[in-house]
Amino acid sequence: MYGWMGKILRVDLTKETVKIEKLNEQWAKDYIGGRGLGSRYFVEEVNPKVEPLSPDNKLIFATGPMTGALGASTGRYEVVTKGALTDTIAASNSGGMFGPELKYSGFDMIIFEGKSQKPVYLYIEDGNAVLRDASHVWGKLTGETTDILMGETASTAKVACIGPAGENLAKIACVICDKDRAAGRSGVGAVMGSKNLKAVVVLGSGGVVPADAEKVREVALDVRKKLAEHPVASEGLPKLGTAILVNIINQSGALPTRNFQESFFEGAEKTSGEALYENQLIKKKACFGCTIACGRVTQVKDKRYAGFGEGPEYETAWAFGAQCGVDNLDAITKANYICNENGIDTISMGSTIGCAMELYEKGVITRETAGMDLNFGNADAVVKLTEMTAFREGIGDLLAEGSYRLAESYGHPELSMSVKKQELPAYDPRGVQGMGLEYATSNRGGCHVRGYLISPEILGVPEKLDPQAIEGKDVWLKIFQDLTAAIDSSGVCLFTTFGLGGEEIAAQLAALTGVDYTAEKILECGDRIYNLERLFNIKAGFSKDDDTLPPRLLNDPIPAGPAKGHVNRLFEMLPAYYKTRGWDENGVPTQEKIEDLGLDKVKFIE
Amino acid sequence: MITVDFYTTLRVELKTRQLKMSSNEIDVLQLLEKCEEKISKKFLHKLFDRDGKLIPGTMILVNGKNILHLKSTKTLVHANDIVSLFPPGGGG
Repeated sequence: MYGWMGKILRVDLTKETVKIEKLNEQWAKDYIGGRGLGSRYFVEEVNPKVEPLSPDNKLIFATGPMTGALGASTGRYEVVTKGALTDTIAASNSGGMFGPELKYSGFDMIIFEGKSQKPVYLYIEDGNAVLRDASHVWGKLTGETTDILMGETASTAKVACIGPAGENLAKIACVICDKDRAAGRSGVGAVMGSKNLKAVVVLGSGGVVPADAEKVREVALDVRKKLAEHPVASEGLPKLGTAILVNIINQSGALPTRNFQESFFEGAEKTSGEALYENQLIKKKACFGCTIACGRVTQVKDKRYAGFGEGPEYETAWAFGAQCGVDNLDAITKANYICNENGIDTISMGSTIGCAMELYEKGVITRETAGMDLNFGNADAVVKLTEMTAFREGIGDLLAEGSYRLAESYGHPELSMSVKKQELPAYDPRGVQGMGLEYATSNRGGCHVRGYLISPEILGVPEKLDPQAIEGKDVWLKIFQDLTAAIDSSGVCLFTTFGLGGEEIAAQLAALTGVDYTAEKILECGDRIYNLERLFNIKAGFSKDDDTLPPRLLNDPIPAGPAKGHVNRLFEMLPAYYKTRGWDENGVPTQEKIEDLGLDKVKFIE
Repeated sequence: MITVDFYTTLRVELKTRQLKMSSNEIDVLQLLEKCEEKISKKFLHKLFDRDGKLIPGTMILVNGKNILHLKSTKTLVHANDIVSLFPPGGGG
């Protein structure tokens, strides 16, 4: 095989054994790698009704063929499991340097099963894997854990680990690699914690073998040239990072504010990418093989929130900012640092705090319960609650469950701005209709990077769509969902699609693997992956009733700003979407669709 | 007065955050040309290609509405309107 390493590592944490297996070549071609191939293995091995934090759930670290290869932004890997937050299939994507190093150590994928009796970490060095005691790093922050484990393995080793949040089974815990890059969503860190698996440390001197080295080089130079000439990839993102979007989305009237009660934040300027550039930025930072370098290395000098690290990204600037009514960028960045150190998903954390603030302002949560004032705009509370969540202290014990379970425990689930219990990101779907359809049908719950229709609806890439139109959004969404699934499976960063299309992604894959991937074929792979995830969720108990949005977004018009008066018209778009996907009126893939994609060969565990 | 707000890389490069332009009624393109004159710095090449077409991803909003959904650069603006300028940007 070319591109793929051809081997997976199976780690039984209960029996403390490791075993090398040959990669299934046909599955690799059909599901590419990463999210797709990881999910293909997962659904064949795990009962969809498994309790996410039980030993019967499995946890897969999966790279794609492009991970670590010559190309553009090829540093991605995925963590695939059943999400602790969502009970759906989960695939959390991360950049950094960890993914490429995993491949250089000899493996496409690691499958963890069972549960260790004591804290352990897995160390892989050039094809040799061993489980080691991790008692000495249990309880430690991700940065310190990384330093200690590099110290006892190799200074060039790469570490992916959980922090205290994952150890404490916070359902919004993530997996952090390289100290600051997160496989953030759906509670994958809690699953890792439930297995007493503190970290994965990899070291490799191998490489990715291409089918056609000269062609790989030619295609890589071509895609890098295109990115270098594209204003988003070469100017906007490198200069201002993803927080460039704060003012863009706010001025478009779609920045959710104070738990989605409004969609225009008066304090957006102070929390914007421009403000970050002027006040906190030390330097930009790139993941493996990336010419964009959207990462932000920052420093906060204000003594109350002093710190140094990476972030905030756009989603984080919003989650701790507009969502909580906070316009103090230093506090936002501090909360981001705390999330990285403790292994918490910033989107879910900030949104859950915003939900708590609304419950407080409505008199549902009292000051006595919270232990502090929780009014919107309270920057100190945002920082404090993030710390408390990692250790499940006080009300942090409830926040660690995510906004849906928090709001439900107080009898107000409607105040959780989530889909399938996962907190929505930073775009109000009342101002951007297609994003409402995307949120409702995302296979891992509320998420923006399953089909980023913000690109055509707001940014005008590849062409401008009217954000309030609903006609045709089903077709656009299907294409975006399928292409995204393919890209997530390839090992390439989604951000390259600001300058590249399906043809360029397929050209990279074809030159590397020798498989005749075309734009059409990778879209078919994406379609297959999307349907595979959907079938798993249906067998897990989800139905069309779960393809919905919080009632506020369906019923309460935006009160002011450029999108004033609009609600999301989800149920006018959903039937057309089901039809476009080849699903029946209940959102179930038809037998014809299943057979067309070869999914009839999948043996789900019943 | 018409308010013209500069955002993202345009603001950083021009070191200009906002202009107040006096005009009763003017189309967007004429307004931006007047802005260039006022600050004595060229910036239209960041928004338009050599053929004068908006570069994909450029956002020019008039009171929050993208001019691509109005009358493009012929969209008329009036006193008290707010024009927001964003060169191509993205993230997520």
